[in-house]
Amino acid sequence: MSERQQLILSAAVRVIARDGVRGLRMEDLAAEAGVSTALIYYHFRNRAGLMRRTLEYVSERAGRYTDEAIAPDTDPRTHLELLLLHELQDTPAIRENSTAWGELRASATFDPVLREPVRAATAEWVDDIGGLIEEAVAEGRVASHVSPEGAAERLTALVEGLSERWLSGTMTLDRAQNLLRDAIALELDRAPRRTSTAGSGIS
Amino acid sequence: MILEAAVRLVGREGLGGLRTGPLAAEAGLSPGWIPRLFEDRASFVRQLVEVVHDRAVAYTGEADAITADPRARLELLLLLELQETPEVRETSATWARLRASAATDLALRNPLRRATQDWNRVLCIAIRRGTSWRLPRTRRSG
Repeated sequence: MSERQQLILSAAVRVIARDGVRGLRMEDLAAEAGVSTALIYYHFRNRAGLMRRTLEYVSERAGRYTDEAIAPDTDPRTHLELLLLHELQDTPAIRENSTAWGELRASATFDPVLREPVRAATAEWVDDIGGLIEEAVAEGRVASHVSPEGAAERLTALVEGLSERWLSGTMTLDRAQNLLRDAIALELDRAPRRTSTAGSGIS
Repeated sequence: MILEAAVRLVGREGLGGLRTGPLAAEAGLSPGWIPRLFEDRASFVRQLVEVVHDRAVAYTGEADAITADPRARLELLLLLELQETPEVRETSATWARLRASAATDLALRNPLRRATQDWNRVLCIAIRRGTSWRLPRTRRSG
């Protein structure tokens, strides 16, 4: 990604965090980034392209795919815990990024341009966490009866929910972090569910 | 009526879409009716949160009409948040908007926190009832 593209995308995140997705009009973005609208169209083709790239950018900045700060020899269980907890940190960059993600998520309900990119970004995040859980199972750090897909979906949904509660002032960051750590342990260290007439294992 | 229109509008457009013209149009009123509400924006925003919360309490509260079993009731209290009906979709969408906006809009924070605490409290009670039901009862004899 070129420096210009990054300039435009970081401006887009700033605008969305501040004014919502509706605030992301091409003229406003151009002014915020200090470039021409023509340059934005050149790099991103249209609004759909811009939204897709902005979502990828937000996901990358959230450390959802890889986190350079994590040492390469880190075991998969520790790695996934660090990735999940990454978003619950009080830095201006993480606050802004998470606020923008919340706006994008909320806007996807009615904005057809956003639905597929939001779905895809979420799926990739869930997939990465699920893959790490699988690796952890293979190494015996997570019990084999744990379903990686289900655990990954629930834990990532929880990260979104806890992040929102913290950012909106309903919950302290400390509380959010502790709840997440507890939830990770509950998901990954759970005893096998007793099969009953009510149903079989957990998905 | 105006609050209901505001709930719909905010669900679609976010809090930034809550302006006199669009709100009047959504409510089917002339714009002259709206400014009085915006005299106290903090109060209006608080009422918005309360309406959304009260709606969710109502449709999840249907659990009481469906079952008396504490464990089943607990599960329904949660599952009734996820229904494919226009009302639940609209209420949930607006709640998500308000939640997202509270990151930057401070007037939303206290109302949201109170509503969340109320929700937590109700669930806490339901969890206690729903799980203690499973404990074996001991009977004293003699």
